[in-house]
Amino acid sequence: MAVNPVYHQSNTKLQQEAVWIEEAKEDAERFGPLYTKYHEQIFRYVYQRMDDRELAFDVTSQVFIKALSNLHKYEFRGVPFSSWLYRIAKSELYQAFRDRKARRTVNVESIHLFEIIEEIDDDDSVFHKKKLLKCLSMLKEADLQLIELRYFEKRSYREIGQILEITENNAKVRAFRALERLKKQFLKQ
Amino acid sequence: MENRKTTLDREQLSSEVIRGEQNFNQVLKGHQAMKPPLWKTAWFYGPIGLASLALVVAVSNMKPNSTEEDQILNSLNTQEEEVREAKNQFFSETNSVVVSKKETVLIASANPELPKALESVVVLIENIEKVPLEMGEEKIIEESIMETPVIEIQEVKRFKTMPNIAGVFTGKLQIDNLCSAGGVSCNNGFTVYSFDIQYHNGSGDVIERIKGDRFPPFLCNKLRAYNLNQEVMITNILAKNEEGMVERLISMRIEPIF
Repeated sequence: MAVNPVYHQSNTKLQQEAVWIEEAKEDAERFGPLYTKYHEQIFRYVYQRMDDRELAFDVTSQVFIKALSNLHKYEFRGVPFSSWLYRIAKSELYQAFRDRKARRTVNVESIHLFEIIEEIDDDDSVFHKKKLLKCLSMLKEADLQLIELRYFEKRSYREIGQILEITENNAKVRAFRALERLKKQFLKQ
Repeated sequence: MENRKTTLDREQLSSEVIRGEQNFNQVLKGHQAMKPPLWKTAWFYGPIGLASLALVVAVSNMKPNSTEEDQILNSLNTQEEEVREAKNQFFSETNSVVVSKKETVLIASANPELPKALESVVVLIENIEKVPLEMGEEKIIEESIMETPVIEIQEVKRFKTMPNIAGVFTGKLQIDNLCSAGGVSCNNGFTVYSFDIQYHNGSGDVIERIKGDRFPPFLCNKLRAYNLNQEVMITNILAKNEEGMVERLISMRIEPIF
């Protein structure tokens, strides 16, 4: 599975990020480099889970506003700044869903779907694709999140763990169980 | 399951399109708008809170409200009261005139028995200086009531009956009625034999103890000269009932008028 190069960084880049954060705590205008660096991946994370593009840009802006306003509370712990941004993004997304501004959307690419079908069943017919889409829509939110992060967005277990605030191993176990439940649902249909 | 939509193979947005939507100024403006106003911040409430705390501490330090202090003061006041009543009772029985101030006792006696009788008062009130008195002689005897030890005396009841002067308990009263009528009286079979009066004597407020129920001429002159249209307090009014027991009546507030 491919590794997200923006997320997984060298120690030098992480240290550089820590310096930017400290500077931004003193002066909000110094937040610019962090915004430029992470805007695209936060937007893609948000847009993956909603249907409305303009609203996804709005939510992304809101994520960075919240981050900037709460930056004084942030403590650098050797993990990428984006893991904190993802957690804010998750919170803002669910706020948008609760306010009924946006509708929870599962965006799936066929190629990813076939990969899952391969893990469940050898037959990759169109019929099974529809069945799997139906099963995905019936999955619990927590399981769907793990399937999305792992199979649709191709994130590493370490990254998933940092976004969901769980350990890497726990992320692995939970993702496996989520896939098992999807499989069970799929075979029941 | 909540209202969830599934889409397959949605068109991907390019990085250029996403970068084109970046607007850091909008984020900065949003951040400025989220800042709370000054009156909601600790910078505003901190100094106000500290000032309030300092005020409360200052006020609590100024107020002598400890229970222990109150108890001691009450105890001393009770002792003072008991000693004063014992003296009053004694002097009323020895037919003497006692003019009393807080720190000074002025004794003017027409009774030749007084020096002998005074010995027993000195036994009762250790702080009074032993002074032999002769007829008509005036002596000032210093006393320190606060240091007076507790002594056992006969109980003096507080009687809730209103005394009056020419039918007036409180309020305005013509100076002529005050001085020439029947003095301080009571309708329930009590005979007033002494009272305290607080008035202005030309140089300041004084409290004097008057023996009997009438206002002496010197007192009437002072009231006429300095206390018209001013309130005078008549307190510690002691009266005897038919059984000869000493009772205290409630205090009066009189405003002498011309």
